[in-house]
Amino acid sequence: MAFIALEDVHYTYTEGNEPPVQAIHGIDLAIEKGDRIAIVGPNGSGKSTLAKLFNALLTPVQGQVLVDGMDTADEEKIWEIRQRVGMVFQNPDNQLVATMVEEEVAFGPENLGLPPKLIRQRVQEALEMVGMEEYRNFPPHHLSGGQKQRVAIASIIAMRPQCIVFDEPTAMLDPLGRQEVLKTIEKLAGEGITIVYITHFMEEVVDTDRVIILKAGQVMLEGSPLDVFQARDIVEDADLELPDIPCLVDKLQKAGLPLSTGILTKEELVKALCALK
Amino acid sequence: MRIEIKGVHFRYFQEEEEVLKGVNMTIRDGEFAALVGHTGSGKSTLVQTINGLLKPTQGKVFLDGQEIGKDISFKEVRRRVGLVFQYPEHQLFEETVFLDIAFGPKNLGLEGEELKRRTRRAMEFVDLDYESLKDRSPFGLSGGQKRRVAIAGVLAMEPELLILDEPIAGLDPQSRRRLLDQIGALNSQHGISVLLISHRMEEAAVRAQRVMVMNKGEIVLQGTPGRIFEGREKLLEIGLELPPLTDVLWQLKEKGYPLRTDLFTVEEVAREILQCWGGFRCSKISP
Amino acid sequence: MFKNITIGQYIARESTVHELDPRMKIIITLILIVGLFLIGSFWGFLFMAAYIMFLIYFSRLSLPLLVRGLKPVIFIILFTLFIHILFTRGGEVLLEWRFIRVEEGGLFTGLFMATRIALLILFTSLLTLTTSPIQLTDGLETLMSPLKVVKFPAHELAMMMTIALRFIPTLLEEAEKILKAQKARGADFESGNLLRRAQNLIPLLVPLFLSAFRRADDLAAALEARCYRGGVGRTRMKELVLKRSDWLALVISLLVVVGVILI
Repeated sequence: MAFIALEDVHYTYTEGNEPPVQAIHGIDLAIEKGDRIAIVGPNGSGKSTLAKLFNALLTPVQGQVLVDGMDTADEEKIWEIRQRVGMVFQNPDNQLVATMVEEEVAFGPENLGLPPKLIRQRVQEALEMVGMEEYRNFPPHHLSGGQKQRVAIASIIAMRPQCIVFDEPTAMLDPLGRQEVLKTIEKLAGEGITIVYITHFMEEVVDTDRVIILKAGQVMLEGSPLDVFQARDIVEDADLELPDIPCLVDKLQKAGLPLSTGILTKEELVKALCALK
Repeated sequence: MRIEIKGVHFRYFQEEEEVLKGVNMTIRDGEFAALVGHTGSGKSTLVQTINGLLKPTQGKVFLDGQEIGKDISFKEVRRRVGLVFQYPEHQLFEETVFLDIAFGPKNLGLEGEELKRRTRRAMEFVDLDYESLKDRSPFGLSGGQKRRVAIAGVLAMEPELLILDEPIAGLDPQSRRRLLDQIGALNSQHGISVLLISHRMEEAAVRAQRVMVMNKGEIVLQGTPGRIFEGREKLLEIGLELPPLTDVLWQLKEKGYPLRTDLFTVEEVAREILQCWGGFRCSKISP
Repeated sequence: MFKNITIGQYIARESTVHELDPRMKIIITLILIVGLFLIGSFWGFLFMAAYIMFLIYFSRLSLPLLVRGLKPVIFIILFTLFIHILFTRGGEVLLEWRFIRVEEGGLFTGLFMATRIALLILFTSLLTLTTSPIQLTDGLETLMSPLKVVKFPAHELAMMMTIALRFIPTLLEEAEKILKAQKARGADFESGNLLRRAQNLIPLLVPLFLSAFRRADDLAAALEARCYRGGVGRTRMKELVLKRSDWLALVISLLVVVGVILI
């Protein structure tokens, strides 16, 4: 059985007297341990709602979400589920609670009720993992956006989750910060942690195993990055944009250059072009 | 309107390092310029000295030859130079779209028909339908619409220069493109000078006629986008990325192929590569 | 304009004072404050001032830094001083000019009261400067935890304080940004009468509150995602343990207080 399994999941927001808004419209999905998947969609497509369904921050109004066999609607299991599926949010400022980096990372393990010595050890390991150990005594508001996100990641790692859901973690960062975060995620994937990465930047999905395109609460397409880049119509229909490199490759192919369609990155393209000479 | 910044220094606190270390810069009348640099490079501080929100600790800013704070008042400067901050939708506060956009012109003492005219015009600029939206609450709109309402709020002041700080951050691809197109039209069709601040070269800078790159409180590069990309090493050194397509040209050039590296659109780059690869006409120059 | 506020400012140093247990530091500060109000003599104040110099020395903080903390209250200190000098009566008449009349009692009471306030501020800023906000709240939480028996929400209060301290700088930054953005749209925050000014604050306050709510929403989700469910079953990475130095500090401070009261 899949690590995270969604079966015909629906979710509707109801707020006061306003008409209910259906955010998720019957989604089936299976995420295996060690998977690295990307969920892409424009604003309002339901990606953040979907993310919150993975760790019981929201529970479906219809259908079922199972995490490691546990139903997220089961109140008893909520904390176990949240320990297994960690989450990093978009705004680096709004997810840090503590006034010092070290305390921030300790917050999760403290909630799990771990003994102080073990917490210390985990904080150390987590900070090393994201390369922030020199900043352990810094107040978070003195860090850059990328550093704050790395602290947020460390504070999840310290809880030893099997899966981390990233909800547009780079949307508010500059290129430097973005690289820092992407590199850190790369490293976590290398450690075998299941990664669910939510974004609307198509160029960030290149390194994933599987891409899911979401529009209006429904899955439009599910496939490898290559499959997705070839389904140009669906991508554009979902208000997304293909990254420049596949566009260029497409253009060159049409002009008669014998390039293979599997080229997704700058490096691959340069290599392929050189090989033609 | 022409802005000249001469030897501007700025520091927030006496004991702290300078945020601006002697900046010289010109924004020409009617141009679309971009200011690029990463967080903390001083770009946001610099633009605040242009519209009179911050007073330089040293140096002068001129608006059409008049010195800000001396020949021309800060208040007057703020009217003529519109500044749209990052995530401007976070500054919305009125009950209706109309009232929020009219806030600026009202502060200028305008009322009645003129107020209506300006609000309607500002909304048209950013492609918001006046009739259907004016009485709606700005908080019930979509993210992209809120952003445009906020920008309209500045446009309603009818500035001659519009400065936008990361106007597309956080928007999805389609909204980003649409907004950049609208900003482009403001410049090309209505003659408003634009200074766009960004940290993503490929999205914003490529639309500008001139790009200025800022790092650690100084302007380190300036020129047309093409020219700027020629300074690849400098850009990488300060942690800015080239547009990916330009980078491909660079990497090929480094392998010894004689390619131009000042191009950045899919069409141009494809043409350049095809010129070399299509007919197999060009040969590698041994380094 | 908001950047000068240093509420809850903490300066990390490796010093004897920094390393004391926060609970003990809170208790000692309270004892010293009580002491301040019981002092009745010039020598008592001098001795107390000497003691704080001694503490500052051991905290490895600079004296000017602490003195700067007095700036915001300098008006209150001077006001107290002059009110007493001018209006408190007793003892010899030192100065008499038209309706102004300064008597010895007034001068002394004024000086005593002013010194008292200044020392009070110094002691409390020494506490906040040498104790990280989180330690401070931890200390308060443990000190208040016996009250949990009577359903006193000690943990919740401490958590609220931590979050407040964490978000004060963020919200101040935000306020500054909104202020500037509205100014860029011609808003006027400086002129007009009181009512007018209060009305003018709406463009600042509405967005600021909305932003605070948005952040609160985000933070709540982030806390829940990290398994936060109140104080029950929670452990701490840094457990508070009273060391010998803590008891020593307590004894010395008690002796000082008793000493200055008796002088």
